[in-house]
Amino acid sequence: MKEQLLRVDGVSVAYGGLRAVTDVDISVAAGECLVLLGPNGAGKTSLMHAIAGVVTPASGDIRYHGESIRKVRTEKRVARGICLVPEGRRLFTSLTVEENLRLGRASRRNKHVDESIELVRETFPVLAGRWKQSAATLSGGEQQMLAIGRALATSPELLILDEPSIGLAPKVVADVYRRLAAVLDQGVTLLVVEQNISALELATRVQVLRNGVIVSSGPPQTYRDADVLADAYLGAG
Amino acid sequence: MAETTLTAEPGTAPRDPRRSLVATAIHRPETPPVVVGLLLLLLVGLVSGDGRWLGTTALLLALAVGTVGLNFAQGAAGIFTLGTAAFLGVGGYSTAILTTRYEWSPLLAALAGAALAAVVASVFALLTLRVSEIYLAIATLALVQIFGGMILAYDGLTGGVDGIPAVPAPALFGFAADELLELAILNVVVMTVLAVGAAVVLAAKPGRSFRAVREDHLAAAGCGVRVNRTFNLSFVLAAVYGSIAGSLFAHTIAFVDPTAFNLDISVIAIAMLVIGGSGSVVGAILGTVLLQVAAEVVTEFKGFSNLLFGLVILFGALVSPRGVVGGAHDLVDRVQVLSRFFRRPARVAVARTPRQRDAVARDPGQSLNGAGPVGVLEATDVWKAFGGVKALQGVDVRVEPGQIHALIGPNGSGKSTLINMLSGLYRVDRGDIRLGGRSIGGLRTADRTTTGLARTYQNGRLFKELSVFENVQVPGDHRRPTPGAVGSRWPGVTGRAWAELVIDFVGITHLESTKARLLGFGNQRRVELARAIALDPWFLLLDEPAAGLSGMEQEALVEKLRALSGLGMGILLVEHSMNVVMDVADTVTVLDFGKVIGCGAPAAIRADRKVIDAYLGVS
Amino acid sequence: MLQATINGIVLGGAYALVAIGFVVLFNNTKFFNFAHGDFLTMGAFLGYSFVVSLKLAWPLAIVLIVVAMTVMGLLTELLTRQVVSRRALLIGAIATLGLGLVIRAVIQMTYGPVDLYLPPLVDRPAVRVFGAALSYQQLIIVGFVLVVLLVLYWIYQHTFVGLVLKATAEDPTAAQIMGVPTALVVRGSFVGSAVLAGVAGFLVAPSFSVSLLLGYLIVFKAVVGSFVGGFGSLVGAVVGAVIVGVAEVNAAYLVDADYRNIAVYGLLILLFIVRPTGLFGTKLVEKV
Repeated sequence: MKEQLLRVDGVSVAYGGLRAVTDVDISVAAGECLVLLGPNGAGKTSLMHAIAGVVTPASGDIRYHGESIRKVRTEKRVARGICLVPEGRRLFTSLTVEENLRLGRASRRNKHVDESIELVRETFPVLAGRWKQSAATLSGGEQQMLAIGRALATSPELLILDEPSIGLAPKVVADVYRRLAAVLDQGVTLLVVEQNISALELATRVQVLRNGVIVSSGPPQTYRDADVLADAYLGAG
Repeated sequence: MAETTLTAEPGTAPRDPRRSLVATAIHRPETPPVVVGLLLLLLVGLVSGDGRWLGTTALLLALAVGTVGLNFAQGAAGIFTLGTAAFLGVGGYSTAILTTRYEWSPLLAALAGAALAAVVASVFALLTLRVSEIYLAIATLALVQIFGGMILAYDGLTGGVDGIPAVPAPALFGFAADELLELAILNVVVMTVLAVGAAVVLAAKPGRSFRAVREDHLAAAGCGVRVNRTFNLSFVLAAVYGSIAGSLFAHTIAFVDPTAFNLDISVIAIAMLVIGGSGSVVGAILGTVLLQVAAEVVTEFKGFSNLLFGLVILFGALVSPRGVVGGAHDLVDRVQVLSRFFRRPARVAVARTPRQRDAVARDPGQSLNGAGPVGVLEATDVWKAFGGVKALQGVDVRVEPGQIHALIGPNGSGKSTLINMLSGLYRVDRGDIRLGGRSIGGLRTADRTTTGLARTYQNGRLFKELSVFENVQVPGDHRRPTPGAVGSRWPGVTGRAWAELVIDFVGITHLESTKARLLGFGNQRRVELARAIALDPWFLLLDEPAAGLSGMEQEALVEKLRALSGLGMGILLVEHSMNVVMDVADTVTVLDFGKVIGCGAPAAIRADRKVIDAYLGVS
Repeated sequence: MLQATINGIVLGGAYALVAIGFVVLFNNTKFFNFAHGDFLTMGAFLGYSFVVSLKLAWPLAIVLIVVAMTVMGLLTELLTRQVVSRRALLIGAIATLGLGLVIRAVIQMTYGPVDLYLPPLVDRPAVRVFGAALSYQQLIIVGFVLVVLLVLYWIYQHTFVGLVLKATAEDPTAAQIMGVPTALVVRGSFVGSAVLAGVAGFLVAPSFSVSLLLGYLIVFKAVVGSFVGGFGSLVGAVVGAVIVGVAEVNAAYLVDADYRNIAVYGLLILLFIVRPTGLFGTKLVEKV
């Protein structure tokens, strides 16, 4: 059995009175791509924030390489190899493309930042043309690629992506996922959270999150049938 | 309609409508101790015959007026201001100059000073609040320096560095307060009158507006509050009180000079307010007493009084930013939460007048007073882009009165943008927004509430430190009859009765005295809805009202939405919960990438292939 | 007039040193430290103790001041940590006003109420620049300001640390997600601004006097000046501070000395009204 890189055990996340995530168990094996599907308000972002360390779960544990990281600060988790590409990208618009990438050195995990940046350049050729431009001038798709590249520059073991397809046209989304396939090939484990089915091509496994709980799990083929998913999302007609 | 899952925290007793506003304002837990304390102070001075003690008391009372005034700006409205010294100086010097040189009566001199302070403050606020309150704060720094400079420069009038000595004793209606005791009594009387006045103002509409604006500008504007005007008013009130305090000060010390009105005293006033309890009139008085007495006691040790002040401000702000009074309130809240485990929360019976009971009992399905609908709310060919991102591209939406219209679509499709556009947060790039045929696209948020629009927010923007009742009163205060209608649909139900009616409707009567931040999530959502309804709108814009609600709570919500539409209200509902949408919507519009891809009855939309594809991202 | 302007520029340079520290701290932490001026005063008094009382050489004095101010900066960060993380501007402003009072009280208790005199660092005659006289001390001040500006420019534009600072200032959470140790950035900012203030105090003291209110009086003018220049912008802070300095000195010459303060602050308010976001500023708080 493959090593469980990440294990989330019974995690609940609450904001004040609102329970965003209730008692969720997920696990990600090294080298695979786990896709979490769910409509809005399902709690996907809260769960990702808990894994990345941005919020503290109200209960439950998170284990990385078998060790609990519940008390580990966000920036230290990056040093251990977990990097989040946040929803909405959150690029540094006051910095250029190159500067956003160079921040990969911040966690001091990556001793060979320049090589990583070269790799990013190869994986996302469109960025090469905008190297010295301010991140604010990029198109939506380019920004998404830069956000992913920025995370890659930290040389992560586990890359978490929160709704990478938001606001992007379908063709662009397909392009982004092609690049992500290359990233997966490079040996990076992926945990992708999405609202739509664009990630299914890439997925090793799929789980569906709704109202803060996991409602179904299975291989990606199961969910390619749009009706199955529609029921899960839009409620049984 | 009552909710059975109670997460109630018992609050303070609800106000008996038979009691006057003044009585309510004064009757708070912290008032008796402070009143007693003040009386004791006076008594000690009287009995001991110690002139110094009486003098200190008189001085402290004069300063307390200034602190109470500062409370309007800082405690209530949350404006940081260092201008207290300047306004104290305006009053002090006006009194000194007018009574010594021109032999005005002290009363007139004080009033003149107050008038001058009011003018200066309004102009000042008008100019600086255009930008933000932070600019006001920095500019008040400059104001104090300018005032100081003027005193020194126009020394012919002001006596410059030497000041003005021999300010005569204050005289009211022929009685001159020559003796120290008489002075102290005069100051007590003036301070009490002004303090009661301040408490009343704070307990009434202006005070609610101040606190609402402090909690959340945006939500306050959405409740119809004119934010800038409110800040201005709080600042002017602070200035007027400061000026009167300065006049009293001049009479008490019988001398004014520039050193009394520099930045330090502004800082000390802030300290007094913070220690005593920012936001509370009694707290302001308490803080003044505490610090002044402490300073007196400690002047034995040279230079220690500043150290004391400094440490008190530093740790006061860090440890207990809400001061003694605030801390006491928190303690009381906490005790009440604990005691919940020992007794069942009592259902609080609120006394109602006969007329209010009738209003509550009236059948909600009935259309009232012949009030007719005002027309349709529509967005026509609306375009909006943020930088390069096209959020909305030629969107048409039409909401009829009495109809529930749901707006759905995947994340990033433009739903929030559309609601923000309708409520006035964003301007359209192209296209128009009309209500009853009239274009409202150019109106600011607060103005749109007068046209009959109200909204709730996705993240819930309640006024956290205000009680449920006060949260609902704020929009109720700004409720205006909507154009095109024959008067309001609820004529004769105004003020507190209106708030009570709305609170009863959403089913949260038993929690009306509880602070909003202590409520459970579901109840907070009810308050949000109540706030929007309290504007008596024709159209409701609801941003994900069902998010986070349990199944039962969602059913209750659906019930209320149906009742509201039965009353003729048009509702535009952004929702993700398909259960709610299918259950309650008359029409559904679907957005995707800023464009409308479907509009029709819920069942049809649910089966529409295009819609399903949009959600699931099939190109 | 020229002499006045030159003197004004030097005065403005002193203000600029204060403004820079204040603005840098704000940019990185969104925190207003109103005790910043008193940090400057501390530097002046400590400098007096080291150079006059203990007869140490001035380079050693500067090193000791750096150490002392580092401690002070760390202490302040510790005290205000909760406030900074919650971004509660109002509480922070009040707390630091209190801190300033404490510092001034301690200084007064230690050194007594009389103003002290710190002799200039270099005892040489004045230099003539463009026909106006400049004392060596004034040259040192101007030189120091330029050095600080250059160093800051180099840090921000050409080093990794500068990159980290810019990213943290823009979006601290996103920076954290990228692995930036934001707590360290905050701590470093407090220390950096405190050290800058302390050293600046040591340098300007000979020209002013080692007095209790030295920094207190300067900081408010510097802050107002930086708002005029456009808050948040370092260049704006410097330009604004220099404008204040020049205006102040010229006001003393052109206008009766009594009107000095009025002229300066009146000018500032006027500039506020005319250009609320300042000359170079970005919006500090967006009004909705």
